[in-house]
Amino acid sequence: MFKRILIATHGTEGAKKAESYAIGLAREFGAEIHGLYVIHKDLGSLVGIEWLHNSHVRMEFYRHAESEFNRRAEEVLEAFRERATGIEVTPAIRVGDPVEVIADEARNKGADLIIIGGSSNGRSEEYKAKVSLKKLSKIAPCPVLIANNTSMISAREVVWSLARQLKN
Amino acid sequence: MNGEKRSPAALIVGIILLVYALILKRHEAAAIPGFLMELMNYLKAGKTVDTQVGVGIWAGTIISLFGIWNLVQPAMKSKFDMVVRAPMAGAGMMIILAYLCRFYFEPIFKLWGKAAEPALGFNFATIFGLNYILLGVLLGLVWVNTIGVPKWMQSGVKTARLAMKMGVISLGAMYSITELRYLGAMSFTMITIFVMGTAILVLWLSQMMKIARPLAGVLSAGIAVCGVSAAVAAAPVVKARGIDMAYSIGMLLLIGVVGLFTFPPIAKIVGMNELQFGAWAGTGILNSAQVAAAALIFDPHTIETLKVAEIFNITRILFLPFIVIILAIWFAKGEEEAEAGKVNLGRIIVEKFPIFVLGFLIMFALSSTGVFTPKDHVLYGKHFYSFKIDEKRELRTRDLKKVQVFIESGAVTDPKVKAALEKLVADRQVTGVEQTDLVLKAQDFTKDKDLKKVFKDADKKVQAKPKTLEVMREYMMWFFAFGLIGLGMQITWQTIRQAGGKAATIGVIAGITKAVLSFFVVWLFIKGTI
Repeated sequence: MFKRILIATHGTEGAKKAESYAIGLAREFGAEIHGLYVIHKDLGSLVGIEWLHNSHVRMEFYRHAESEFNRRAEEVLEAFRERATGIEVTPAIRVGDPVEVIADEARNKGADLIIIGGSSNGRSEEYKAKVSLKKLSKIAPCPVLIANNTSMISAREVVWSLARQLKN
Repeated sequence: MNGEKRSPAALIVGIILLVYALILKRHEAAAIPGFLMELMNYLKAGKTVDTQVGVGIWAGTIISLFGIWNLVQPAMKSKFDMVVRAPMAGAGMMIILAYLCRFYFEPIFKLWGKAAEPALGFNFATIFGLNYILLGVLLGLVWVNTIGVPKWMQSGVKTARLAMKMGVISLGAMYSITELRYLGAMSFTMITIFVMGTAILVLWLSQMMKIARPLAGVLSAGIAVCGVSAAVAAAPVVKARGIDMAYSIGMLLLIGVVGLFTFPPIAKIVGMNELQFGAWAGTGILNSAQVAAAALIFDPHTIETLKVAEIFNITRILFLPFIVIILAIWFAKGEEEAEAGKVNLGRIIVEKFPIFVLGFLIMFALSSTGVFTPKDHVLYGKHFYSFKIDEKRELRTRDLKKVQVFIESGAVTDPKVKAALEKLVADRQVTGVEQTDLVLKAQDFTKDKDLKKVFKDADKKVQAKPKTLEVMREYMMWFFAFGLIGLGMQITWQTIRQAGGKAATIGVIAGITKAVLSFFVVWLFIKGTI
C-alpha cells in the first residue's frame, strides 16, 4: 500500500513519535523512507535588527549559523537512521517554509504518505514556528499522517483505520 | 525585486512621490484653495511644505529614473544591481512611510492629544511621545507582523542599516570638542562599569543555572554590550549552537523592544532632562539601534538627547571587540581542542571594529576645523554664536533704555555682570562669548519678566545657525527616520517568540537589573545639562 514514506522530523519529542510511526509503517509494508529536515527560512531574518557591523562580521555569522543548522539537521537525520534499522532511509536537508517544502519534497520524490509530528506543547530544543496543518492538507500530493502527542497506538491499527477510510 | 523579472514597483513608487510633490507645489505657489490646502492648514504644515516638496521632487525623480531602468532591464545579480537598483522600490516606499509619519500622523496625534487633554487631564501625545520616530517604529513593527513585507520591498528595507550609519556619521559633525570630552569621560566611566558588571552577572547566573558555555557567552555579550549586534559578533567565536542563537536573539529583541517603549514615558514622568535620559538610554537599552530610537522618541525636535545617547552607544560599540576577545580567551580555556590558545587578538580587533565609527570621528574632526561653519561662527555650549556687528543682532532702543535704568538702579551687585551690561548698552548687542553668559546671569538680579526676556533676547539675537550644519541636520533626521522605520520592520514576532528557557530567565534578570541600576546611577549622579 505504501512504497515511499516521507517523514519530516526535527528530533523533538513530537517528531520522535512521528518517527516511530514511520518506522512501524515502513516495516509493515516494506516501504522505503525519505527523511526530511527543514531549516526554517525565517532563521535568515534572525539578525534583522543588527545594523552596525561590516559585511565581514555578518558573513562570518551567517557562515557559522549555516554550518550549525546543518550540523543539527545531520545529527537528527543520523539518529533517525540509526533507529530505523533494516529500512532504506534517504536523508534530505532543505531550507524554506516547512509546509511548502514538505509538500514539494513529497511531490518530487513521489511519496505516497507524509508523516509529521503534532504540535508539541512542551519546551523544545528547536526553532519555534507555526506549521499550518490546514495548508499542508490542501497542498500535499498524498495523505498526511499527524502523529499526535497524546497516545501511541500501534502502527498496525493506524494502517487498518487508514485502509478502512480509503475503502469508504 | 522578484528575481530577474521586470518590476514596475520602483517606477510606481517614484511617480507617487513626484506627483504628490508637484501637486503640493502648484497648490502652494498659486495658493489654490481646496482640500489639499485645507488639509495642510489643519495639520499646521507651515514651513514643512517646502521640505515635503523638496524631498519629494528630489527622491521621486531619482527613484522614477531607476524605476524606468528596472522596468526596461531587470536587475541582475551584479553588485551594483543588488546594492543600488534592487532596493530602490523598497527605499522609496519607506520614504513615503516617513512622510506619512512626519507630516501626517505626528501632527494628527498632536491635535488629538490637545483635544483630549481636558477630558483625560493630560496630553497623551506628549506623555507617550507620539512623534514621528515612535510612530515610524510602530508602523514598521505592525506592518511586518500583520501583512508582512512584500518581496519587492525587501531589499529596500535592508538599506535601513546604511541609513542608520549615515545618520550617526553625520551626527559626528554636531559636537564641539568640550562636549565630546565631557560626554566621553562620563560615558566611558558609566559604560565600563555597566558592561563589565553585566557581563560578570550574566556569566555568574549562567554558572548557577548550569547553562552551556556557548549560550552563556552569547548572552553575556548581548546583554552587556549592545544587544543583537553583540550576539552576532560573539556567536561564531564561542561556537554557539543554532538554537542558542535563536533563543538569545529572541530574548534580546524582546527586552530591547520593551525598553524602547517604556524608557521614554518613564523619563517624561519623573522629569529627566536631555543629558539624563541620553545617559540612561545609552546605558540601559539593550540594542544599539533602539538607543537612537529611544533618544529620538524622547526628544525628536532637538538633537541634544540623541547626541548624548549616541556617545554612550558608540562607547559601548567600541567595547565590543574587547568583550569578544575576552570571551574568545574564556571560551578557548574551556575547550580542549587543538584550537585552544589560538586566539588571534589583533585579527579580532581589526575585523570586528565597526568602520562607521571612523566616519563619525572624521566628521567630528572636520567639523572642529570649522569647514561646515562660516568664519565668524563660534560654537559655545549648545549654540553657535556670531558676534559680528549687525543691525539684525541689535536690541531695540526701548529695551536698551530699560537695561540702562536697571544698571542705574544698582540692583546688580556682581561687578562683572554690571560691566557686561554696560558694554551691551554701549554696543547695542552682545559681542563676546563670556558676555553672553554674564548677560544671561543678569536675570538672577531682577524679578521683572520683561527685563528677563530682554536678556534672553540679547543672547538669542547673537545665536547663529550655520546653514551647512542645518542642512546636514535635516538630512540626518531623514536618515534616522528612514533607518528606524526599516529597523521596526525587522522586529518580528517570529523572532521574539524564540525567547525561552533559561536564556530568557537570565535575560530578564540581567536586563532589568541593568535598566534599573543605570536609572538610579543617572538619577543620583548626573545633574545639570551639557
